[in-house]
Parts: sequence; structure tokens; C-alpha cells
Amino acid sequence: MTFQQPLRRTAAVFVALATLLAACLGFTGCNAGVDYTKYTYQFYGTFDTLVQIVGYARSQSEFDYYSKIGEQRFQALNRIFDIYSTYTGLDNAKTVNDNAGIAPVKVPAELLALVKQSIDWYGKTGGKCNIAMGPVIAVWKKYRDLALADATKAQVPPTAELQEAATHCDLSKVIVDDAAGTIYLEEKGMVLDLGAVAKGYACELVAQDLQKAGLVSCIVDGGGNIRIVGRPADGIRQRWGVGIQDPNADTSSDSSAVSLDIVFLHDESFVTSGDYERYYMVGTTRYCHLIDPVTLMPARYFRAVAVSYPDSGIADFMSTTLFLLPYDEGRALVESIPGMDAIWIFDGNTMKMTDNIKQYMKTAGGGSSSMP
Amino acid sequence: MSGRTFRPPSVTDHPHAVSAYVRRLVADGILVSLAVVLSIVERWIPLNFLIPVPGIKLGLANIVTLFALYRLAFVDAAAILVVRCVLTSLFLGPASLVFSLFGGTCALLVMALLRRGDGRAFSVYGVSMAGAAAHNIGQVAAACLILQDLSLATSYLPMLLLVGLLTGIPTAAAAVPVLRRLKKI
Amino acid sequence: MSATSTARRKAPQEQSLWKTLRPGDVVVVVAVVALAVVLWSGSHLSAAKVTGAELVRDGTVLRTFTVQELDTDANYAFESLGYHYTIRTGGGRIRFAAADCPDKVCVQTGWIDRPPQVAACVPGHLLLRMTGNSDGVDVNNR
Repeated sequence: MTFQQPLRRTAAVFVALATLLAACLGFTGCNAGVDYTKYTYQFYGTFDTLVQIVGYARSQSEFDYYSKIGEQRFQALNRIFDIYSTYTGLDNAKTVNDNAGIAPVKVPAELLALVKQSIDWYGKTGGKCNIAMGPVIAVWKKYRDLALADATKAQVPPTAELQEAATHCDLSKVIVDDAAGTIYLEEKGMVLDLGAVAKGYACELVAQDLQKAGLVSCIVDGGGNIRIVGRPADGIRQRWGVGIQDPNADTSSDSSAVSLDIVFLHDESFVTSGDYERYYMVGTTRYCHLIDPVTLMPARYFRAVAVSYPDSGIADFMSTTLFLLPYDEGRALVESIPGMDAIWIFDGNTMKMTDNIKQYMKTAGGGSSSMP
Repeated sequence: MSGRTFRPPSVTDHPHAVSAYVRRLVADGILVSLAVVLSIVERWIPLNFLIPVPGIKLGLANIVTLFALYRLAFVDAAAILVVRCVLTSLFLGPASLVFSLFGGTCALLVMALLRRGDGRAFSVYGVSMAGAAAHNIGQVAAACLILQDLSLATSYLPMLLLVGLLTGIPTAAAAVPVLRRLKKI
Repeated sequence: MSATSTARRKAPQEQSLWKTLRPGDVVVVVAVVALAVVLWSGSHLSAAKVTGAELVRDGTVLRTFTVQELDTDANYAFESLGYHYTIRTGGGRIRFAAADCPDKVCVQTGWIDRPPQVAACVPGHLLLRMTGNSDGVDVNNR
């Protein structure tokens, strides 16, 4: 290629270049004036927790439109995964439990898919997070409710009661019939409890719905089950900031609370299981809601474990699993799953994390919201 | 071209050498006055309507620097630049002196560097665009020094650099016909 | 072929001064654009939440404006090195509204509303800049 061209062609090249540059200038000018604003919508009443949708939209009314979609979907999913209430015209998780040992129940596709996914991952991960642990969890819930109502009556459930309950927790007796769309608990006394997986799965489905509806830059936060869609649409940041709370701090959604660290993420979910969410005290000992299927007692390896993974349903499942596994085993498990990272928060707030996530953490690895 | 000497002629010099010296002095003088006029005139051009970046200029005086670099020598260009800046500041106020000197010097050095090679590597357009960008860098550097703050370098300079690429083109386009017709002074 | 290339190398390409685009010109354009992009992205991608604005002279903060003040319509008068300035706030933005400085670049800059935007008046040594907390937290884990 030579550069010896007639003057006219040279001029044409320059005009093209000038136009390109002008376009660049125009682009930077427009970029500076992005008119996206960050809105937040919070509501209670689903999954026994505060749910919030944080997102960038061009107007309040646009955001209201999306948050309405999100809230209604959350309410619908909450009814499907509910094990305490029945709803007319809906066969939900409670219907399945009520029909244990009696008959298979035809359930909504979301419930079928969640149960299938939970059984599948139970097998893959060494069987720590068991959705058929309902009877044992119910025992702990009974004693927790008692203690919260009257702290002087706080006590640890008797071992005999827990062991009796544990005889009805065989996940292999949860029969999913894909073709018929039914779930059947083979044994009377079996109880599905989706508490460890339903919130994360719901956040995943709601996030996908919102994304389809057009909200392409948002966070769906179901009580700490954080599902991130896209990048912040403020024209400035490339990643959202997720604060890792001090387990000893008051649990609140106040983002100005001091964080142990900040993780900068996009298109990812970040789900935490901790001993500080649902617990009660017997004397000075804390009894949280995350129960080891072998000891039938709360796990005490960590204060909290957070899992980062694209799918929020899997991340929720894994955060429970990792909370119940010793650090070395848990770490080996996480490292065997591509795309998954985890942060373990020990008593005294020391943290350990997988190598990959370090770079996205502000304090641990110098990460920032501007990282690509 | 660049090997021209710059010393006053002595009585032993050939008469042609004397006249060459005088011609050069006169040329420098004419170019200074031209540069001053262009510096003032360009303030009347409402470039902001075309490109909404505050404080931008076409840099018409750069035509003179370009011409001096190609047809005279580096010393002539430098001398013209300094005299032009001082004279202009008499008309436009002393605040502009630091800027035009800083920017002008940066532009001069970069253009003198790129001009070497007589057009094999860079055309007048390339030299002019690089000069305009260097001019803007020098000006912002001066502003950063005065304000004792670097934020202009990141918030303002990027836009100025792109504008410099644009304004460097008409400057070169104006210098080209002059260079074509005035091969020798 | 070889004859022309020798000739091309020998004679200074006076013609090419104005008639052709040389390879170096492309290098100039690419280099300048790259520098601009690097400088721009280095700052514009990092900031996030507006925490206010500040007026700086010679590296010293003269006055800070809170987010509330930026939201309120108001005028502030300042004097610096003999020049007089009116700074206006409102709608979360701030600007030099009027000045009797020689070049008026500060007024031409117009409104600024997010970091790292600045408006500067070099004759008066004034710099008005948006401040921000670059790495904000959007949500907390729980």
C-alpha cells in the first residue's frame, strides 16, 4: 500500500477522519449527559424477608412499571414455594407435603424445576443441602419460635426428637416425574423445606423476567440474595458495588453501613448464608437455622459464607452447602465448579476467599467499580 | 535547509550573504506581524457554535510557525513565536502570555521534530495535527500549574486533544498553498 | 520498480508535503486519540455518587457545596485576584454564571453535575469541581 494518492483522495480521507472525530466528540458529549437515574423499590411480604429492586431507569414511572412486574412475580413464586399456606386453585409445596405417602401432586413448572435442580446439585456436592430436611428444620423452628417468644424458655431440641425427625429426610424418596409434571414424597411424615433454595431461585427467575421486560441494569435483592443484571447504566461505572456486611452489625438495608469489604460485580449473583439471620440464643450459645444433616445441629465453622456465581438459584444452594462444609472441603468443592467463587467469613471477621474473586474486592484486591 | 547559519554578516562577507541576511530578517518581521494579526483575528471566529468545547481556538498563528519551520529554520520559528506571544499579550492581556508561550513552545518542539525527514514520514497535515495536540497539552499543563490541580488534565484535555486533531487540518490546509508557492525566501 | 523507489528515497518528497497522506499522519491521529481515550477513561469511569462540589484556589478549598446546596437554586458571589464571579446552583448542578475575567472560559463551560467534571477560570486561579464517592455500595449482603 502506498500513500501516494491524488489530492482529492487525501482530502476525502481527511474529511472522513474529521467526521469520525466529530462523532467521537459528540459521543463523549452525549455520554456525559446520560439521563438514567438509580431508583430503589422495597417491599415485604414474600419469602419472609425484605426484597428490594435497585435499577437504573429514565423515569420514576418507567421504574415503577418494572418494579411492579418484579413484585407480582415474587408474590406468585412465594405462593408456589410456600410450605405453610395453601391457596385456592394452586397446588404448591404445601400441597406436596400434605400428600406425602398419599399421592403424586401435579405442580407448577417452577416448583418442579427447583426440586429437580436441588436433587441434582445435592448429588453433585456431597449431600449437605437437603430440601427433604423439612422435619428436622421444623423441630428447630419450633424451638426457635419458643425462644424468641420467651427467652427464658430457650432450649436446645432434645436429641431424640431430632433423630426421630431425621428418619423422614431421605431425599431419594422425593420422586419427580418429569413427564407427568408431578412430585411425590413416598413416605408419610416427609416434608419438603425449600428455605435454603427458594429465595435464590426466585431472584433468578425475577431477574430474568425484568431483563426480558427491558430493565437491563438492575439488582434484585431478596433478603441478601443478590442477583445483578447488567452494568450500572450511569455511564460512569462498569460494576455494581456489593457491600459485605459485618456479621455483628445490625442487619439493615442501609447501604451507608460500614462494610468489611466491597465486591464489584456485573451479571453475577452474590448470595450469603450466615448465622446472624435466623437464630436464637441458649445462654451465650448461638443456634442458627443452617442445620448439618449429619449432626442435626447448626454448623459452626464460619459466621457466613458468600457465593458468587452467575445463577442465583445455584449460588443460594451452594452458600448453604458451603456453610455446612469445613473450609478445606468447601474450597475444594468451589474450585471444582467453573465460574464459582466464594468468601468465607470467620469469627472475628477474618476472611478467606477463592483467588479469582480477590481482584474484584476493594480491600482484599484493590478492585473498583471502573474495572471492565 | 536546516543547516542555515544565524549570524550577522561581517564586512568580509560576500554582498549576497549580506542581502540574504537582510531578507531573512525582513521575512521574520513580516511573519511576526502576520502571526500577531492571526492570533487576534481568530478570537473573532465563533468556533464554539461549531464545537461546544469552552476555550477552543483554531490556532491560526500555527500557520506561521509551520511556514517558518519548513521554509526558514528552527531559530526563526522560535524567535517568531516568542515575539508573537509577547506582542499578543500586549493586545489581549498578560493572562494569556503563559498559555501561549507554553502551548506554542510545545507545538514548536513537536512540529520541529516531526518535520525532520522532509515529508517522508509526516505530511504537513500530520505535523500540524501533532502540533495542535501538543499546543493543547502545553496549555493545559500551564493551567494545571497555575491552578495547582491536575483535574483539568483528565476532565478537559481529552476533548481538547480531539479538537486539536480537527483544528490542525484547516491550519495545514492554509499553510500548504503558501508552502507550495513560496519555495524560497 | 526499483528505479522509482530509489528515486523516491533520494529526493526529499517536497510534493508529498501537501499532496499525500504519509504513514506518520496515521500514527499521529492514532496516538492522539489513544492518549485522549486513556486520559478520559482513567477518570470518567471511576467516579460514581455525587457528594457535592468544591471551589478551589491554588490547591486550597475555598468553599464546599453540599448535595442539598446543589439541589437548591441560589447564587453565590466570589472575588478572586480582582475578578468577580457569580456561581449558581440548582437541580443538582453548579456553574460559573457570570464573571468579569478576561477569557470567560469558566462561564462558557456551563453546568457541571457529576465528577470528574470541572469548570476552571485560570486568570482568577479558580477551579470549580464536582466531588464524588467513587466506589459506592449499591446493596449489602445479608
